[in-house]
Amino acid sequence: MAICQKCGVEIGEGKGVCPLCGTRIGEAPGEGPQGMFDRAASALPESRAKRLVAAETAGVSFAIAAVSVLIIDLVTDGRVSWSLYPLASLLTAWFLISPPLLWPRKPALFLAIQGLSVFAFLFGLDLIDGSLGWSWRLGVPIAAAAELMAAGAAYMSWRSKRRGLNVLAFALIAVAGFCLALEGFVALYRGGVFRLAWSSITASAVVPVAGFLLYVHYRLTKDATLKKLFHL
Amino acid sequence: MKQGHEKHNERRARTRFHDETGAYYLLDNAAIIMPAVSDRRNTFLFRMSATLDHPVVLSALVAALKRTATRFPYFMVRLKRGFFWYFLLPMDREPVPEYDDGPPNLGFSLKRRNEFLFRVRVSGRRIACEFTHILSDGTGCFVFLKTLLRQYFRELGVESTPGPDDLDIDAEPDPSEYEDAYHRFYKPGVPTPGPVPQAFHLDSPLMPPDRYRVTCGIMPVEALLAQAKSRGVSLTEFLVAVYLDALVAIRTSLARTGRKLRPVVCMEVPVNMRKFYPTRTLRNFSLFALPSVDTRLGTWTFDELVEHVHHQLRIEAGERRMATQIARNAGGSRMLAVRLMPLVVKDFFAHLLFERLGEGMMSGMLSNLGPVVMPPELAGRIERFDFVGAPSKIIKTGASMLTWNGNAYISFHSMAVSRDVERLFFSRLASLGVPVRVECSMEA
Repeated sequence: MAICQKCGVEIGEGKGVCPLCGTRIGEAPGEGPQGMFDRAASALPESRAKRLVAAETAGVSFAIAAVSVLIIDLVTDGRVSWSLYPLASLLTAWFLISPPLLWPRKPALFLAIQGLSVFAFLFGLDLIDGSLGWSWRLGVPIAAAAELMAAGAAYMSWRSKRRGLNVLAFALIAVAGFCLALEGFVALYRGGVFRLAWSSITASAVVPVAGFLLYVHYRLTKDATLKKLFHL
Repeated sequence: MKQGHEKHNERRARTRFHDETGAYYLLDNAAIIMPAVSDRRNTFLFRMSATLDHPVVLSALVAALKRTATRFPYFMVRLKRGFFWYFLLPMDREPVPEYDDGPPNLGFSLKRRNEFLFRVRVSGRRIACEFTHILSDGTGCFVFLKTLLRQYFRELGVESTPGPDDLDIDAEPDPSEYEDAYHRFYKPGVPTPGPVPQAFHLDSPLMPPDRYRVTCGIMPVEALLAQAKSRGVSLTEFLVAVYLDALVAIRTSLARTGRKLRPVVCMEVPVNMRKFYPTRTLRNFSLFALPSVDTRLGTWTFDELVEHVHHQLRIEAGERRMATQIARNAGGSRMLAVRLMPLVVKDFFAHLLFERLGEGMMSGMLSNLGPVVMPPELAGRIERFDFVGAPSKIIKTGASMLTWNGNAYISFHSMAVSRDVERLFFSRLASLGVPVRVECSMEA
């Protein structure tokens, strides 16, 4: 058995490196990592390094695409015109892709950035048209409603210990909510009044179905008797 | 004649109930907090394994596990969520061994549906049992592993004489095996323990969530005992002092960089309560002592630390001190306001309690299972035993140990990138003349 000159411990057969300090067997103790903290402690974990590379790769790819589009626009039209649309799209795509890679453990942060980038994209498209019009009164409210409903359904599903019919129920409730918001905002944009017609019929059909699915999921499951569920 | 509180304790200690759909179990008092605070890293899974003198015969192990499962129906359960508490439902299938190819104690979620709360893993000559603390503590898991091993060898035609602590696999399970002993031995009127300061924690970043490093030091137990005896302390006290010394050295090194660090360095030392109270329970029944040093009191030499830990553990690990912890834990869960609180609210407070009264108070942990005893017919057929503790995001590194066949097996389990605790611990033992052989699950 080999003995590590630094730690003084015996290393298993066939091991060339001390598992405690990283000193190579046969090397003088000074040749291993120095000080209290070993070399590995300061290294980036592998998965984080991979995510950073992915974010950088996405950024460079989008930058190349953006420059190419810009050059083609300048060469063909002699000025920046239609390329503003793909540029805005590329920028938005980067804002949608990169935050989860950069801050994977902060879902609130990257979801907020992604949500805001959609609003910014709609504003951007509207601005390219010449003035702010439809985006503020129609695009942003509808996008906000869609994001809110999707986030709510996703959160409820994520919180569920047991997933099944309840996920479908949450999705149906979200769809009903979105329909109400969609019709309301369109009516507001067209006539200045938040009026509901077809969406309320849709919701009144969908919500009871969702309620039934939730009842089936949580109550009629085989083992969920009241005595167990409400045992004090 | 039983007193009023004893009758009440017996009622509260009962964990098995029936309704029209069959039996169900309640979680013991130590386990009730765990489902709420478990996640991908904090799996609450710990592991005990035996390495045999021959490659495991899978067909014999499958048959042995099937037979052993019938002896431990209270372990063959899954976790369910109620309105006020979590509860355990019997599984409707048998457990089967899994291939032991991933890191220990990871890749297991308490939130998985319809899954056992333990697993038996097999690879080469090794049989490993990984249990969540929801089911049991080290004692319960080890009784299960011993029973499984005895049955495995019986399948291979090797009969063994059961020892005094071994279960008879042919007997019916006794209700006392799954009683909640915390509630059974609760004493009304006993004060709760005083506040404990938040402790220093290792500064190292965590490895990715799918990685868990086990560094096992193997050494002659005689050499360790000689060191402990020369200082007039027990083996556990001596090793806790070595661990504490390593943590203090790391803290001192960090403090030199100007970092603001908590001054108290504290160890968690689990105490098996079965040595104080007459119970056969195989559910959780352990509490912990917290020997600590305050670095504001100056530099501690190693011998001072050993003496300090010795006296602290003599006081802290006594029955009367442990009774105060039972008073706090069992007493708290008996309060009507707590019982009537919906589980969603309990889960929220469980996080706070776990961080404040759980791992926030400790910088490291050392769990000593003690000497392993097997029937003489089997002792020569088992090369070694290993004990690997549950992962922790907060204390990051901990140690578990047992002794077998004249050797001590001290396994450090870590989620930290840094290996400083392990290095300082084993280097200290080596510098004292203890011949230490180290194995690690991950290359440096």
